[in-house]
Amino acid sequence: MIEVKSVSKGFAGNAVLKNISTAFYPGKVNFIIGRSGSGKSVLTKCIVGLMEVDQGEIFFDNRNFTILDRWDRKDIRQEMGMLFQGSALFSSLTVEENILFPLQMFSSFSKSEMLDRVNVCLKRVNLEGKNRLYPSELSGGMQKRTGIARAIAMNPRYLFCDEPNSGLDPQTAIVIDNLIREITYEFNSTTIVISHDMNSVLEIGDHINFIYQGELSWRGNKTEILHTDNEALNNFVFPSKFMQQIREKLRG
Amino acid sequence: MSSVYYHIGKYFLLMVSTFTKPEKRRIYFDLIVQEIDKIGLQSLGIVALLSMFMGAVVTLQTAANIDSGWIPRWTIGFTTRQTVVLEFSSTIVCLILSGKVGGNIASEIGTMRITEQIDAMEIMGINSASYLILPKIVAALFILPFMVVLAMFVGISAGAFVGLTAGVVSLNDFEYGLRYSFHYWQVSYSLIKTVFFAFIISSVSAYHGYYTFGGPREVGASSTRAVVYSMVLILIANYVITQLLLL
Repeated sequence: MIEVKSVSKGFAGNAVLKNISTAFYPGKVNFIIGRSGSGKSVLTKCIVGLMEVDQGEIFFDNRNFTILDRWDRKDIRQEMGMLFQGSALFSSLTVEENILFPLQMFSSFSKSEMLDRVNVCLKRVNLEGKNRLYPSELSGGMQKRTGIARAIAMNPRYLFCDEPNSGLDPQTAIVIDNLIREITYEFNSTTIVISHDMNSVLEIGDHINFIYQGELSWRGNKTEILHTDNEALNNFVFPSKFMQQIREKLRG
Repeated sequence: MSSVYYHIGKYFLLMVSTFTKPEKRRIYFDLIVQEIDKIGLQSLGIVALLSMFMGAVVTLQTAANIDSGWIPRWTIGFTTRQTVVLEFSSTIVCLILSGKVGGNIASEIGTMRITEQIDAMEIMGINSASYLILPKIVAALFILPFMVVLAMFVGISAGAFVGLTAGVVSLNDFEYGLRYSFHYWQVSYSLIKTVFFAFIISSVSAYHGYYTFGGPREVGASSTRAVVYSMVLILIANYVITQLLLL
């Protein structure tokens, strides 16, 4: 479980995160949603340690991440996997080498064991046989799946997905969503997904955090989201008349 | 002025991160070999070409400017040696390499930054500064002195060839000039300078690449800054080292 306690963060005097407290649960797909500039990416970067919080604490299974220096954070970081918005695959490495990368750096596996692990991961994301291709030779969906394969190579306890569906067509987006959900349940990982995609949120979101103007405005699940009277959340999730009509039908 | 201190501090903090214990030495060794190829071997052609023409031009210039019968012809060999060994092979070659190698390092690391590849490494628990920068610095420190020795050899050889074919100096005179008042220290001085220049090129370029934020335009800007700052620092270091070692 990841717990965020009273976290605040600002840049040049502008408060971006204001006293946020929430928790993300293992074996669940936890979403952070919010409008552009609401602070959800900053919150995620603070959680993974790419940014330092100004105030507050972040706990990974009762281990206080905020007080650790970069060397002590290493152990926790090796339990993290992350899928980036742009996949962030190493462009000079093949698919196989990308997935091998964390294994070579941190595992004590032999070369053949590592290759077996790579093939297991590739099979898991339906990319068998793509070992020798470079990221530039892959479609957007394949790049995302390679990113997932790399993220799960070390059996992560914590999985972070930053806008996993951005730039993908709706059908491919569903494939990625399902993959994230299956992997979360399979590894019992604490998965945090940052997304604008309400289709994903309503499809696979087990636990949803809505950030509005740097504050945690609402928490709940996808059933509760239909019945909330939080105006900012309703405007975000059901912005058009069409979506509002759908909500009324679902409520009914 | 505070901005200068800010960047100096940030640069030294980056170097502290860079020179921390590597995660797996074997992987770093492989990376260093790759960087030696990229930084050194792939620049051999330009270094050889440049050295050849510079050595030839220095010889011809010296010959053209000796218009007094009192100045012996072996001065041509002497001047070519002094120019090539003391300044050209180390300073000019490193200035050229700061453009080629420095720009390449800054744009490579800068692109990795803007495409979140460095963030991906950090989240995996890898010291990205060490992984990306240390092999480049070690490779540059190792290979650039060899390239400077090559530049010395090619420059002087080209000078001798052109001097002979143009008929401005005999082989005996050129050779006498080459040997005249020669101290091995002059080569050592040039190689010591090269080590400092190699560190400047690789680390300053890596610094500008590592702290690139934005998009492709910023990568281009970082690359330009890397080249300009490297060149300016090389010139300053050249002055300081010369003052310290020769006077």
